[in-house]
Amino acid sequence: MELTRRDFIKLSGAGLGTAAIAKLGFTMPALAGTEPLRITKAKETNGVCSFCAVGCGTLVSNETGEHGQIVNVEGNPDCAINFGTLCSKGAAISQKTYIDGKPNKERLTKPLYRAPNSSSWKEISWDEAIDKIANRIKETRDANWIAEDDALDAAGNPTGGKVPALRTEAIGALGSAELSNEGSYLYQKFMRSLGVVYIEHHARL
Amino acid sequence: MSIVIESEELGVQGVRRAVKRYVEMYPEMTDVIEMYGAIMELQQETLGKVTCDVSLDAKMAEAKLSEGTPLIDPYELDIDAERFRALVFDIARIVDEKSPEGFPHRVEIEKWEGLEPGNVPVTRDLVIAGEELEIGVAWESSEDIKLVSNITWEALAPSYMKCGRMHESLIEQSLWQRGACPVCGTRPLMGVFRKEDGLWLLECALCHTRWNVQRARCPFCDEGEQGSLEYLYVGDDRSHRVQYCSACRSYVKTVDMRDSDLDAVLPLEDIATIRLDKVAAKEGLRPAGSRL
Ligand code: SF4
Ligand SMILES: [Zn+2]
Ligand SMILES: [Zn+2]
Repeated sequence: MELTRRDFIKLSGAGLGTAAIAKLGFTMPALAGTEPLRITKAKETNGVCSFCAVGCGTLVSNETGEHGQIVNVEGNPDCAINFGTLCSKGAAISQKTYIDGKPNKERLTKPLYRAPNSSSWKEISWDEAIDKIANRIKETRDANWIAEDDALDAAGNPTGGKVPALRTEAIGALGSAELSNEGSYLYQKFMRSLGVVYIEHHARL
Repeated sequence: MSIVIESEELGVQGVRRAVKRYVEMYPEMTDVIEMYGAIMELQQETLGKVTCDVSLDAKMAEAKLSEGTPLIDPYELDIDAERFRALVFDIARIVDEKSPEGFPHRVEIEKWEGLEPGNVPVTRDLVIAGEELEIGVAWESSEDIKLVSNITWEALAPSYMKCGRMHESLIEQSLWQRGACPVCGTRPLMGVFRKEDGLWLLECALCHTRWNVQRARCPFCDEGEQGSLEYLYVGDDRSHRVQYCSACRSYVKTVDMRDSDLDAVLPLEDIATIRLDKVAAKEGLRPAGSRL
């Protein structure tokens, strides 16, 4: 008696519930099917709250259709981290996108650049933003590269020799609570490959 | 995470309280709720008298669930023929007395040979499989024959409920997560988002065991992972939903109990939300597990 998701074991009989109500002559407005009804269709999607490092599972309900608005966010009961709960920040997370049904004007959707000494921001493309960041990292790293350190003996005194250091102390890295374990691993790996030694994470709960 | 779900015992008094509550909430459905409530009272009385001769331990249950097999074979269960027969008569009487059109074959059903002890297993098999019953030519309308099948289903329920209540504590829910009942393999009657945490539980249409399925995936087909599960609701009442799958077109009504003080009694909830079945049918959906 193998039972897969698709294949019920042919138990399709029914009790006297809804199937038999009309047959028995009961009348009610719902049965006539003539009431005007406003129907909303929506869909739940699994998500992860991005506000802190707990990483609570969320269920986000969107109206279906191309521009379906978020109609509800709740804790995912199937998530072993939060068992269906959310704190007040997580419960309000849809406000990142919509406030009172209108798009949140404070939400950044494009990189912004403020030139040195300027008081205003201007929109730039992702390519431009990434190039700028890469250039700054390269310049800072090159200008502050520590290639070698003095060698020390067991008591901590200089021996007069040198040992490779291969690091920069001019860049610091602050990880994000919005990163998963895997994302955090890649982030620190990338930073170490640049010779960054000040690597921190903001997993404060 | 380990999840075990055990039902609260309803009992005759529990049914009466529930009927009162549902009649207050849905006064336009008083007649039908009271009729079904009377049937549920009989089922609860019988539940206290029937036995379940299936005996399983936790290990056997785990092995069965892990291989995708429900705990009991619904076609093998021993039915107490005398009690079953008496319950069919009683339910037929209630339907006759409490429904507007009555049940015209109430007397004939007492002579129906499908209820003779030797024929009970065959009748049972036909009813739970949803196959047409063989009844004498005097019963011309196939609608009437279906009604006999519906009545018979309700009379079978206590035997299955007994097995469900006996074995539900052995079910580690994470081993199952399917669209059919882990006790008897039947399709769900309705679903509920559990009051404490919103966990989605389905309730078996036959043995009324509740089991857990994941919230954002269709439990009825293999497309479930692809985000095919959607839902619809009427007006602003998001707590009564039709959860449906855009791939397999199955649906199951679900009531969200998180804002409620009391638990839903799903056989009554099912009747009270018949409007949603109408809407679902208009949308081209079919009850999960029903025949195409
Ligand atoms: S604890 Fe609150 S902020 Fe942190 S992940 Fe959970 S819901 Fe989000
Ligand atoms: Zn069952
Ligand atoms: Zn499906």
